[in-house]
Amino acid sequence: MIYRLLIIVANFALSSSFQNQHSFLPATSRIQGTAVETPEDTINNAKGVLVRVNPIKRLQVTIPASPISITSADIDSHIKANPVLDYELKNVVNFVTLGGVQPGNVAVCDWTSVHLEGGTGFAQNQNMKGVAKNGHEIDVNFEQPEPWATFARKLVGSGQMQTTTFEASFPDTYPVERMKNVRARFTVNVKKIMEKVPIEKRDISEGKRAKRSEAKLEEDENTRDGSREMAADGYNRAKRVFRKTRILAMDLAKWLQTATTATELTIYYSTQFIWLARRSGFAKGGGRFFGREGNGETKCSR
Amino acid sequence: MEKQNVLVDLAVREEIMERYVVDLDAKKATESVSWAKFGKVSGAQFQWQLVLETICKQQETELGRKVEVKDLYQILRDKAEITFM
Repeated sequence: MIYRLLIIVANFALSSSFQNQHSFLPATSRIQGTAVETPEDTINNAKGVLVRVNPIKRLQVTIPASPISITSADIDSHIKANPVLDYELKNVVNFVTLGGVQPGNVAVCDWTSVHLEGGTGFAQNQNMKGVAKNGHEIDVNFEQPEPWATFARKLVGSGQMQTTTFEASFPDTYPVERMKNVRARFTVNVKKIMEKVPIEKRDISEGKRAKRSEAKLEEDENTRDGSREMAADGYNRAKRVFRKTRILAMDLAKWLQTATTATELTIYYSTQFIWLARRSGFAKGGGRFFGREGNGETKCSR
Repeated sequence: MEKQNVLVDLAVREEIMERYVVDLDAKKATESVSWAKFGKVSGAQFQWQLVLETICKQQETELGRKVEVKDLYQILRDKAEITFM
């Protein structure tokens, strides 16, 4: 009987074995335990975070767009729209004496417009939305298409920060459809008057480079000589000051030695002066300084 | 081409985050940087950065040279089989 009981207990123990114990764990951790720990996985725990990434063998990517292709026409239009400038803009410093904006200048302007007639989608005598610009670099050139030629004509003679109002019209050939044949009143404020200064092309040929390095060397040597001169100057000045101080100190000591009555005088002295005065027999004569030593006003007496 | 690269990079990122990342504790990742507060986007970006660093290590062993994260994009672009729709 006891033997049978033992067998039943043993069977029960076997059936509720370790496998059942593990069923208490969350399912994911068990799956990860088997799937992740392959030798090919890479683990990054540099920041205390476990990052496991499977090795990337085959990346299949779908992009919901057509491939972007660039034709030579695109390149041409881009080059046309963004030409390489052979000039840079510089402020016209003497625009007052020149009489304001001159032909050939570039006027940097802020402008707004009021609709007068023509076009589509504009209310009369109202500000035209979107037909305004800040920091517009207007070339003061009368040969360009309208309305910019009118802009150029009207801006000639305008000073900096001066506002000009004039009427101009967009021609029939203007590329924007709704702006064709629009007549508008423009209010233009000239912010800056600038001129085009051609950019010098850099020549980096060998000869030039060598010359430049030679010039640099020479310049370096000059500065070195200069610094030597400056140091020499400083030394001479210090020497002069020292000599003067010594004479003064000796004079003072002499005066103190010869003075018969107790004397007190206020002097400006330096540490060097005190040192020299003491060496010159200042103390022997009974002289002494009051106050802290150093540069400043103090008294000495006998 | 730059525009196209941006699209490819985005698609590659999605693909890797979906299919290749086996284990990445998002909460722990953001908490590991104590000085920063992460929103949804920046948190995702930080996780992606961690994944990129991990892939860098993979590539270093594969190619036998040092791979920087900035170079990794091009490597992934080269690996990708792109289908335009």
